[in-house]
Amino acid sequence: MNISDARLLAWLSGALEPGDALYVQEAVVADAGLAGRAATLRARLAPPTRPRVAAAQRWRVPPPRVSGGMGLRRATAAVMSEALRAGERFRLRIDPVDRPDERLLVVLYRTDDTWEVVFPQHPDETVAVGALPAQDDGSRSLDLVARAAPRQRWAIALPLGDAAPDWDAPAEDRWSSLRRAIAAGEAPVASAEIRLDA
Amino acid sequence: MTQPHNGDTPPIESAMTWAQYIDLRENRRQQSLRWSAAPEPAAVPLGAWRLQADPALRDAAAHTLASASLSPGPAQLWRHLAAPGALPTPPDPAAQRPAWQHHDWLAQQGGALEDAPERRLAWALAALDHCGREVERRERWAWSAVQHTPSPHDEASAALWAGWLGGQPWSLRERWEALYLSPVVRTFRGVCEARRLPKPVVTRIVRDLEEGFFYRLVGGDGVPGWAELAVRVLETDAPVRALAAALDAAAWDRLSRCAVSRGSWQESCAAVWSTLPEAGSRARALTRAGQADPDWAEAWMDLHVVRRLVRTWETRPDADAWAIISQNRGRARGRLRALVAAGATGLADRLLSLPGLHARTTAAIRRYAWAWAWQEMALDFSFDIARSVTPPCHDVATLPAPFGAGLRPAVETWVLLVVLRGRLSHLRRWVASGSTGDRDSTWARLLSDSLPDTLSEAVPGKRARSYRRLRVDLAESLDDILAAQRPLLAAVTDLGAARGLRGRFTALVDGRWDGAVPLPRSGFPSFLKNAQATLDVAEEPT
Repeated sequence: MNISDARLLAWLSGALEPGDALYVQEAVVADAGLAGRAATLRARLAPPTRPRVAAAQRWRVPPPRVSGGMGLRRATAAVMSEALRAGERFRLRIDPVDRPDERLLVVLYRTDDTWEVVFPQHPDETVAVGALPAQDDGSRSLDLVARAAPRQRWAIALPLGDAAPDWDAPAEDRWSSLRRAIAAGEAPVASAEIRLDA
Repeated sequence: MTQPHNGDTPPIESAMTWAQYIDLRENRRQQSLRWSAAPEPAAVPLGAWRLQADPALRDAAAHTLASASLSPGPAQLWRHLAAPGALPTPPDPAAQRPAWQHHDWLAQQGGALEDAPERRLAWALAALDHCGREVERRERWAWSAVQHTPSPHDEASAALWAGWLGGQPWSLRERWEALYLSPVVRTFRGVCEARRLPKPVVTRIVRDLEEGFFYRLVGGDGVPGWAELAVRVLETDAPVRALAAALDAAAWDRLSRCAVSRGSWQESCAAVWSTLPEAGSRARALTRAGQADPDWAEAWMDLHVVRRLVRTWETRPDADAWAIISQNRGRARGRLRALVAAGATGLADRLLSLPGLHARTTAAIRRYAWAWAWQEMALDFSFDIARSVTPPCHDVATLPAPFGAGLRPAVETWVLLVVLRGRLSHLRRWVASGSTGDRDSTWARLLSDSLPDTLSEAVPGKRARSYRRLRVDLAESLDDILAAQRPLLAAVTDLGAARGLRGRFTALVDGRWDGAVPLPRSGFPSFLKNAQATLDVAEEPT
């Protein structure tokens, strides 16, 4: 019977409407070849095992173009080419937010496993987003240096004081308040993907 | 051998032996031949369809049938009307199978029955009976047969839904993700597997999904994801009736005005209320009927589907009937979803009173995630929350008029060219959002060089033209156009890549290619691949 792999996978994922699921199930029962294909696909659907990060340790940074209460985009280069290579500077544009002088600027970079806070790393580094240069439209500019990965995910969070880091806490707990504030939708956060040119 | 059902509709046949199927088929054949000999509307045997219960809908269906210009081929006539004694017997006649499998087996045997005028109507009636039973079984009975088992998580699920409906979801995020993120991830993995995406890409997608899932449900400026999902939970109760019952007066009014003035629904409404002189009075009649009885919406949808089947059979008696049923019911249900989702905050009582809420939410979220994942696939998994999974239902008062019969060949030819150039997914994205999400030069040329000026509008003071009318038209007509082009696309794949392909292609489309669209001069080998790809993906959700 002519049932595509995509439809079988939908059936295996429980994603078909009941009538379609009934149809595929009847076809699988009647056709041994189809049943074999379904079994093969079911095995391929098994998720890889990976360590589960505790909820309190998880960063809930939205993917690029998904607003977490603020806007963030890569600024277009003013001159010549937009080509970007490792070690070169690129500019992020942070859309206007309320109370900019009270909001701490936090820069994150996504590693293989989690997000790491790039800035600030010491209490004396802290700076409010309001201290960044403002454009005519109220947005702020932030220059960062590209790393070596061909695709890089950067994020900006702008917590108020109650979600500021606890510098006396162990490293893994230092940003717990911010993580909680992001998860609760209380701290604006947004990410941007930067791609290096070959 | 039958599943119990209410007394107003025929029983739903379940698995049956060959002999039982032949009994069913013979009853159908006899009553179809009888009625076609004296086609009295009140006696039309369309009992497999819900429309039978409403005299106005039944008469409209009977009139559509009796006035149709049908020309089924010998194979189609044989499939439905050959006498039982002329039929072969399958190798395992005692095997219990659903009716559609017996029907498909019979279709593969390749018999023929001579054409005769009295057989044409009987053929359509028998084919409709077969389709109607399958619609009842798959589109209604299968939904009601699902057991949404009570779960220890029902209470938590209700609290979570109360949070969404009350506009306070953030405090529930941990519990929501603990219950419902996992089925979404599994579903996305299924879509990635369907497209054989490399493992590192899947890892990236899953990470983005895990981080973006909740934001997607919270939503942006348009209808939020949670509202789309709430509607899908509600429809687990009955995919049409539950949503029809949830429409308020304003939503019914909007739906009715749209139905009486747009696309093929306009013709269906005119067929039912042929004595009402203008669209406004038909819209009011539709609203009255729909508000009086939520079950009527299924009967009304039945009439539309029956009419679309008969109209299609007039030119393509071998058309895939289930594709026509799916497209027309799918589009209508999509409109219903959009209308109900727009007022989702008022769904609290209906949603929270559903038994087995956790199981229903899990089932709905898998289906929602499947559609969402395919949408994301077309956009390289950008997770843009501004784009809803449910196509919006625009107010008809703000829409431009659809293209008339004079311009339809140009629309259809241009769509064919888009498909042959391998840009169908671009077209779908463009119709849905006004952008393809990339800067594809082939697509740009299709718009600038191949689209006739008559299908776009000049914008005063600007060089760029407006394509809104075309997008609105294609939002309604694209699936029908593609379905109608399937035989032609199949013929393109059969042309073969040997020398002289351009000549063979030109001969194939001669008489079907509208002159307003420039005939392609190059790229013919890729047409074969692109036509095949379109045929391959036709059954996947878009």
